[in-house]
Amino acid sequence: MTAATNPAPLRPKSALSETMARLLGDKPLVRLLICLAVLVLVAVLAPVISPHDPLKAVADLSNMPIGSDGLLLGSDNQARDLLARTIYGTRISLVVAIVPTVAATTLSVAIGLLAGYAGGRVDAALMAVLDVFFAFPIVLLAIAVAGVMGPGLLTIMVSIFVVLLPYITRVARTSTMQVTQRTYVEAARSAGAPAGAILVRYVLPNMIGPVLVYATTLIGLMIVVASGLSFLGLGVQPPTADWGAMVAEGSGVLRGSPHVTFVPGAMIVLTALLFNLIGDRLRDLFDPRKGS
Amino acid sequence: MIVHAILGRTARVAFVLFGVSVIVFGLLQFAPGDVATALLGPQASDSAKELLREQLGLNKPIVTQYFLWLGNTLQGDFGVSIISRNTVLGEVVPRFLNSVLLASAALVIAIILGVTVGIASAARAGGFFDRTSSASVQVFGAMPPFWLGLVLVYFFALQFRWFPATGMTKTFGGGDAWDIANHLVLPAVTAAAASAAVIVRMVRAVFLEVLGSDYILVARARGVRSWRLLMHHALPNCMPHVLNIIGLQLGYLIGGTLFTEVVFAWPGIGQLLYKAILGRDVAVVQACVLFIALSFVLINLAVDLINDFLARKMRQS
Repeated sequence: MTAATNPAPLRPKSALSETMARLLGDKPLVRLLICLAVLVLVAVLAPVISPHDPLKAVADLSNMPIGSDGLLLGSDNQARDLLARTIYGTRISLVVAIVPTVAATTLSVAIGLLAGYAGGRVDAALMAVLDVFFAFPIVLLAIAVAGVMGPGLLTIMVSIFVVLLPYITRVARTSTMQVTQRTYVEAARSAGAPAGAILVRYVLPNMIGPVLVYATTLIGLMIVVASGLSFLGLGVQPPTADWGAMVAEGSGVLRGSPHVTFVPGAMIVLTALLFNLIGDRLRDLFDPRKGS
Repeated sequence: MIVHAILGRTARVAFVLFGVSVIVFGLLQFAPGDVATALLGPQASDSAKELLREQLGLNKPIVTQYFLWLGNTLQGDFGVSIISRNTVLGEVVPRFLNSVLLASAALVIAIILGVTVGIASAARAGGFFDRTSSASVQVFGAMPPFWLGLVLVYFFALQFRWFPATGMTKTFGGGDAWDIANHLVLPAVTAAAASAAVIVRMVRAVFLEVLGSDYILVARARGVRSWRLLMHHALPNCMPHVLNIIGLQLGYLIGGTLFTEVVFAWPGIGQLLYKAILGRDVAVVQACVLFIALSFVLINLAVDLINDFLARKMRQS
């Protein structure tokens, strides 16, 4: 009884808990996040839920159709279980898109903070270098990096990292510059606080929001680009299950067994779509002006 | 004033071109193994390698190597392809033109589709058409071009047999304009899809903003019919934005074209780049990357200049 009438404690809510409350209060976003959680679970639990070994020929015939006996999605061109391979492919797709995005965002925030705060020549030099990277269409840059490094999982992650870095850095720099002009930063500066402390304590927490939202909106596109590199044979090597590589393998039997191509491709579309929708929703929530 | 703006842009572009050349030169340094072996292929004799080392100054400091390479490149000497043994320039130029054909066709499709669907969606925002197109835009925006290409091949080439599945001409007796156009349809649609999706989305947003502005409300109150309102009142004001949107799309479009060429065996620069990477033909890889990046920079410059021009004209009127 008294608990209901007591006023809430006057401690200000932390920015983090406030943000979390706002995110979890948005029903469409929560629904999308649940879908993402399911996808992540599929990736993590692949050995448990997968009906067969994705690398071994388990079917009697290759290219068996969807709904064959014991094989929900049929078999691929080497008589492997398409469902098992699709489940295992989730792992590579998520890792290859998310790990480089996290890495690129971290480095971008550091560069953006320094350039945005220092301004002047440091900033001008950074912008000039970024301009050079923007001269390459992202797919071309990714292919060029992957092409010189030689195929492999690490190659794809490095090329996605290189592609993302200039774009996220540009947003981090702009965001830093906007925060740096605020009065509390000015106040801390005139009070004689060291630059490092100002950056970490006042600028970083306030500039990071837009950067994280922007990075999230790019993950979907990166899933598509990474799958393209795999499709070209620049990613993980056979027999590892990877959606892009599976589409390439399936294209050889497109006429008779289109499902071998269609299934992994549809997974790429759905996964990229999911991340795009999450990114759009976050952007609408935190910056209603930019929503379309 | 105009001259000043153009000079400023040119200076920036000059620096970007310098940076691009450094990166393309750098690709060679990142290639695994010895540079002379990478350029001549594993079967090359020691004397041939030694000769090339001498020519490219590979024993000299890296800066000297860069300027030697730049000098050769500016004279159109990109070296020799280890796969075909032709000069790299002779390999790249005809394929580049084929890619320009494909990319232009894709751009036209993306613009027509993107702008009309975008305007139609904005005209009745929230209606059935708008909701359908918004959902399609999301799906096509998330679709890898190589996969869309294979789906189109399956249905329209293998099942319905409306269009050929691969190549640019018939193997025998083809090569006329009709034959090429027939081969162009599926690849062009494939390369256009993702760009069209983004153009729809952005054109819709721009139109919604203009349609909500005061002068449109006034025109509507005066009884101007809705299609006339769209075409004569809203469209002219959206044009600079629409042009800018299309400019921003070119990077995606070029990327989509690269994948499309591989799927459809279109003899363009994307397919050449792909084969060169698989065959470790470093000189060809360098030339392809340089050609694509150069055209991207120049197109962007053109779009910027046209935008400046339009913005100035708008201010004057």
